[in-house]
Amino acid sequence: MPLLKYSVRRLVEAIPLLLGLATIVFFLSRLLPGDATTVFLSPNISPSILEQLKSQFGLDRPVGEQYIRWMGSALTGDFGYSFSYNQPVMSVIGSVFPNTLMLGMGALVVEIGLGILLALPVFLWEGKKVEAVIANLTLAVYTLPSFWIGMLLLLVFSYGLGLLPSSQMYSSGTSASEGSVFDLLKHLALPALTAAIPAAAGFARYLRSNVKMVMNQDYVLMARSMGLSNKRIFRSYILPNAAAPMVSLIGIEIGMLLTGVLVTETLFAWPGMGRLTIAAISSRDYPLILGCTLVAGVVVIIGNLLADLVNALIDPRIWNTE
Amino acid sequence: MKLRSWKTIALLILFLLISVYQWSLISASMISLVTSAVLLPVNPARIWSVDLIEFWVASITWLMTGFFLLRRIFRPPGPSRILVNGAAIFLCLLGVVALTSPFLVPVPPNVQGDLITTRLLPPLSPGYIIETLETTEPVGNVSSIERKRQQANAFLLQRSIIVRGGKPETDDGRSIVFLFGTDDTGRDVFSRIISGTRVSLAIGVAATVGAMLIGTFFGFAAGYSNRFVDSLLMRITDLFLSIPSLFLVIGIVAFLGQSISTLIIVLATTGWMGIARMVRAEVKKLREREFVLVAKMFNRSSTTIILRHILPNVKLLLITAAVLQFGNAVLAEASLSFLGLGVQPPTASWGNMLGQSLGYLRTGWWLGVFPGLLLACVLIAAHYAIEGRENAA
Repeated sequence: MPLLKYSVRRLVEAIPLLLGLATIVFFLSRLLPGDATTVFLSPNISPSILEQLKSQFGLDRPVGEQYIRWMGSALTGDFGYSFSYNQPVMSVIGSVFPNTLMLGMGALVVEIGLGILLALPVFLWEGKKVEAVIANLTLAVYTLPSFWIGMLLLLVFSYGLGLLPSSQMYSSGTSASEGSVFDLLKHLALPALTAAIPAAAGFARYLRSNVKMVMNQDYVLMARSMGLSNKRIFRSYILPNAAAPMVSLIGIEIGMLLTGVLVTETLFAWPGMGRLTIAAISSRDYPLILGCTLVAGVVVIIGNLLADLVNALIDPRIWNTE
Repeated sequence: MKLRSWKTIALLILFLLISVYQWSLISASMISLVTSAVLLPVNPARIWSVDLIEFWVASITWLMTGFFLLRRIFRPPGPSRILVNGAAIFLCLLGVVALTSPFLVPVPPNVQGDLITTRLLPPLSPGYIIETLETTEPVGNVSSIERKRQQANAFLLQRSIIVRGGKPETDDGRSIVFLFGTDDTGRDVFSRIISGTRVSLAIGVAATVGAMLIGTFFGFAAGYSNRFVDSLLMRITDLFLSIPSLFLVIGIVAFLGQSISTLIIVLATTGWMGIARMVRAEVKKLREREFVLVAKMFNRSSTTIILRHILPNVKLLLITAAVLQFGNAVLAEASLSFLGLGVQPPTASWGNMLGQSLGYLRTGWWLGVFPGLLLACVLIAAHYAIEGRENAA
């Protein structure tokens, strides 16, 4: 079973990445001058209580031991207590993570749709002026800052035309349980578009070069000479072949979307991971910041891993050559 | 004498117009620069002042710009090798704007206007400014040069400026136009954007230089050393790449505190991975080439081979990577400042102007649109500058 062997190898390779990530995050927290007690307690606190607290949190032990203890608890998903929410970090993150996942999935769907739409011209009007214009526009949009796009979308669709709501997940007065799906979709539209537009342009650029490459292959010429319609050729010959390498791009995109989500959630007051991270920073809630950074890193690693595995399923050449 | 390039002439006319309009400011800066330079040997300690340096830099750049424009008109250059296309020229012009920003702003960027008449004025609104300077005679017996220096510095640093909207009622005000409108405290958005250009570009350039140094070092170290070191360094690079960079940056900023120098360090330490990978791949290819083998045969040291034979061949790649990284750094700075974690107010940067504009989307669309537009132009220009490079290469 070479496929199984390949999958297991990829999984094993991800483990040192995860450990290294946790190590970076741990030493990030040690960069802080002093420790948690000097930040959160009054300087007038009596030394004996300070000592007691330090030993309670394990801060009086050598760094090496602290590191091992921290790694041990991090591996079991225990990142300590959030100062500002007074709850375990994992449960705080767990309560908002689905919202971010929803936003990310929405953005991913919009991104893939828009990306395919933007890459179509290369097939329809290859070598014509329209194609060049669209290619240049795609490059321009690709470089635009997403928060500015979001701002313009807000100005036009929310404040100008009054079509879509500007913030939150549900209309005011309704809660998660009674809000309708349509209401949620309406609230999701602008944030998802904001996160998706620059990513879609990147997606389209990559897909375009793939389509260009595939179009010159012999089997496409063969299909043409057999008299198949253009639509049919695109759907059954070009798109599947050009789309296979896109899978790994989508894996990388997950990380990019997660970064975009930070800004997007702040802009649209979407209650997710991004806004949680920003709030954690402004309230100097260090365990929560560390937890958020670690979870974000883990999501990226898992995204890349999934992309590799799906790629291996689609394209046997990846694991067969070894 | 052959006149060429109407663009250069247009720029020269703009240059002269601004010189006339801002004559008092420019001349004061020049006097300050010259007298300070003359007095430098006499008393070096008292001449130094952080606030004055921006005016000195602006004066020098202003003179150089004028000289360059004149020379370009009277002696048109041959085919330019550095500025391959419009995007690169745009970035260079923006660099000049950043350096000479004290001369280009109609109102100093942090001066708040009269709250009744200048709050949230739409673009192209008229206004006027009244400048007053309380002249203080230098104490004691001082030389005429010292007297001139103190007068010039007083004009640069101590004049008080009143900004009002509408037409001037009396003759003492100078009419201006709020080209991009005013913000919620009556500050001129155009002036803040110009001044923010300097902050944003300076951070972008500094962070790029840092990232290039780290990335080139890692790239050469990995590409030119043995297999073990190579795979170790690349694993570290992959590790840094696996964290979403903005999360990492935010994490570090949260722990180190928010200041411009922290921002530069953080952006430099999180932006080198792509450069390292590119350089490594190129070095690996080059070290197998014949000219390197010949150099090895002649018993040249590794340092010589790297500096004399490999580095010149990756120069073009490094320039491309630098421009790309510059775009990324400017965008990262803007994102951080937008979230309130980067450049802190009242210092203007494009990002924090965008962030502050969020509260005024309904009442003042111009607050967010214009800084974002300029930011977008820079990012697009950075990408097109590379496209030109790649075609030229």
